[in-house]
Amino acid sequence: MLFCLFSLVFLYSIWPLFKGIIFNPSNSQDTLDALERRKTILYREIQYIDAEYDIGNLNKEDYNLTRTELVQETSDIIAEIKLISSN
Amino acid sequence: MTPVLGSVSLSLATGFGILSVILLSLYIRSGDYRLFLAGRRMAIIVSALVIIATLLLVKELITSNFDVDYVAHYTSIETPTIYKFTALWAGQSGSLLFWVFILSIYSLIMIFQNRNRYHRMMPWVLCVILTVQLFFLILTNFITNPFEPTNADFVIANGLGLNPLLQNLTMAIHPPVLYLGFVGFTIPFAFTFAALLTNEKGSLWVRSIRRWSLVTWLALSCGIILGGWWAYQELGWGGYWAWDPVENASFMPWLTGTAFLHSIIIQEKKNMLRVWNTILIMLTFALTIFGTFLTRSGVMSSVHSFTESPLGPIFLAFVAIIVTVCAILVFQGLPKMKSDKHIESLTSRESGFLFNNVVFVTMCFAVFWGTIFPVISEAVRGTKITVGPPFFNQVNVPIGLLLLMLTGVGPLLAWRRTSRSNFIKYFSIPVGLALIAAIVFLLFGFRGYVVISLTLSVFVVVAIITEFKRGIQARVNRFGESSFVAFRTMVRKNRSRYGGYFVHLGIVLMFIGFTGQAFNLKKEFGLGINDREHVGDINFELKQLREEERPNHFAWIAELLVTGKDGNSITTLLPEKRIYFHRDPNPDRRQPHSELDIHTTLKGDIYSVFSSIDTDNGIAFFQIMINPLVQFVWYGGYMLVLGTLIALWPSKREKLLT
Amino acid sequence: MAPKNKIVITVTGFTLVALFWIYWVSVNPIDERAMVKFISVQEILQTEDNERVRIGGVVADGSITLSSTNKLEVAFTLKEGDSFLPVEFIGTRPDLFKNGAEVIVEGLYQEGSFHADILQTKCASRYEGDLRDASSYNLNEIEI
Repeated sequence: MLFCLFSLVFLYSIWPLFKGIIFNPSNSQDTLDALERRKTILYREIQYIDAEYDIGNLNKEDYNLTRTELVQETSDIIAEIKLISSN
Repeated sequence: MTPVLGSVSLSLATGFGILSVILLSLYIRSGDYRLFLAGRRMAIIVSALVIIATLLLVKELITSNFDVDYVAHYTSIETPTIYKFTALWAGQSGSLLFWVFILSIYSLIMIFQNRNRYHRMMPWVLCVILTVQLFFLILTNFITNPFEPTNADFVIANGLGLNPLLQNLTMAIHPPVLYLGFVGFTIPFAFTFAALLTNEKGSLWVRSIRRWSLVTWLALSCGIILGGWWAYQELGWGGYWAWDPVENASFMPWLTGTAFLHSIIIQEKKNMLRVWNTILIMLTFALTIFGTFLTRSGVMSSVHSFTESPLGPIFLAFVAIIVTVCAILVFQGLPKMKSDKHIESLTSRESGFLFNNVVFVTMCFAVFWGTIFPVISEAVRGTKITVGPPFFNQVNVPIGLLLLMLTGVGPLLAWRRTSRSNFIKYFSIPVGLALIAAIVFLLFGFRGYVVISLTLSVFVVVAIITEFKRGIQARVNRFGESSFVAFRTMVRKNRSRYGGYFVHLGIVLMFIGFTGQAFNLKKEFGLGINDREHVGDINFELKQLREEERPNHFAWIAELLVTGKDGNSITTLLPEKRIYFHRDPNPDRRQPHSELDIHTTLKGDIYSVFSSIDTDNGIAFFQIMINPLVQFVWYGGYMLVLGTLIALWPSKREKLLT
Repeated sequence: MAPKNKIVITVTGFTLVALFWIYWVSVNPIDERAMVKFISVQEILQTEDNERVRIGGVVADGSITLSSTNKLEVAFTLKEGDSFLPVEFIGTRPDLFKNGAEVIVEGLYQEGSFHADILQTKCASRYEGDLRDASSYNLNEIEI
């Protein structure tokens, strides 16, 4: 009985090896997913530094600089997402 | 039958673990996704088998199968069921199995959470976790197998039973909580390791592991605090921290882990300090393994240690391998990890974080140095030196105070750089109030570290309050919210930061508690009936001595009337002297136990221990301690848990991201 | 100076100071209890110096004598291998202190006897007993 159970478990684990070659999702899927999430984080980050500036944890010059950087990165990412999803 | 099944599952888990590592390495080389799927399934099976083996051991413990050596060693028929269960982590082999059991649960959660994510890093992450699992599996398979049968040629009627000191609910939950913390750092370590190997640039995975680390850190903190609380309530020496090697073993990864939690914020937000974070998490992981080694191998003579075993060298070799591999990888990865951004100014929040890190690591090194000094001195000079609490206190008090100061300075600094005018604006109130407080403390007659510690506490609290006030003010100005709504939204929008401040307040409370130690009083004396004695200006009078026989022990109960300076009654303390196994004909097998009694107030504790009794003359001997402000340590602990929970509380947006 | 260098210098400076501090405390401990030599009973019987030491051993069977006037005062013989050392201790004894217990004492050796001010017990032998020793199992003879 135990041996059967063991064989079943073992078969289960090596089952994928007998399927046909599977499309490796590691590239574009991963990238798209990552970009989407990076975009969400950037939106948040912009909100965050707005609040930080209000509180006074960031001086005007640095605030403008950081904000420009973030906005730039966000627009780059949006462009990239568009490019990948149109392919 | 069951023990055999347990052994078999452990062996099978080892086999599957090795296969899985092979498949995953093949996948890393070839990129054939099928190999990865099979490898991952095997990793799941490894974890499942470990969990099955652990459950089998639990079954053996609960049903008291004394044919298993471990069961016979740590439980007896009389042991209450709950302690039969907790005996799972009372001994060496059981606790090692328990270690890999927790890791297996974590591994399953991690695999499930990231089933469609991080496809490049995942094989490496799994490989690292599997390697750690395999290490512990090999130990439990070949070195100390918990399912080992008893080696006796007679039927074992009863086991040895669990030490009464461990038959206490706090003691029962302290080790698993600590282990949850210890083991949890494996996951962030595995991710960092994988990111280093795959040269993952993004900061997304950093987010995922930050949450892991925070949960783990919370468990570790709770474990440490519970341990201190237990020692204070049960051991009867009146303190909660003895700088015992085993306590240090849990404290060192806590220090580096705390540092990591801080600097990971900078990596997530600014993509800086990557090398530093990588080193920190590797250090933390190595320290958790080293800590398990200290606890479980018995190299240090310490109350917690187990007798000498072959585990020591194996563990040490594993730590050495981890350190070497990590060092090589970090060194090779250095050029890739270099960030294009640098800290721009010394007076910036970023550099505040960096300094906090440096101080944490320094403290960790000081503790490490003190812990291994005996071993080094024995190896180098041939004389064994024991390092006592005075050393650790002397070394760590200034470092700790520096940390406390940084807790206040950090939130007052601006990101990137703090302009001179802002610097003055933000620091003037906290520094001013702290100075006034210092003068008041000096007038009260406090001196030395006490003044510094209390002054810094005032500074930190004021700094945190002003930070809250500025945040609320900004929202009130911008959105016209009421102060309360502004406070709520502010915390909700940035849970990790404001939760963090609550943790800081908790730390301040703890420091106030630590400072109270400077005023501790201690006295030992004997009292006949109606005799009195005083400690400080508190009087103790022995009213009565009672004897009582209870189901499993005999007890003498002293009734101590405690009165204040003007004769006002404060409380009656009832410390007990108990004898367990009192019917045992062999007096050496009877087990005395002092059940202490503590009167607790915010101002301080009155701590009484019934040391011994002279039955011929009717004299009872006591050890009395007055411990001011101890309660603040526990309040600080509650605050720390509360703050961390605020930081961890899931928000809708967070779900999208992790 | 570039801010980066400033930070590097400050961090390095701090680290050096901290390392020196740790070293300094190791060499000049404020309290004689901070670093204590751990020696064997045999060594202490031969030594002449009157310095604070820590010794481990087993309480020799039947050697524990409590003072008749003060129950906090105890005298016993510490056994390590074939060497014996008389020990005096005043204070609260740990619960596990008894004949045959493994103990650690710390204090000064004066005039043929060891004056301990710290007395600690190691793990209870009862719970670390060897299961192969049949007597460990015979707990069922006791009613509890």
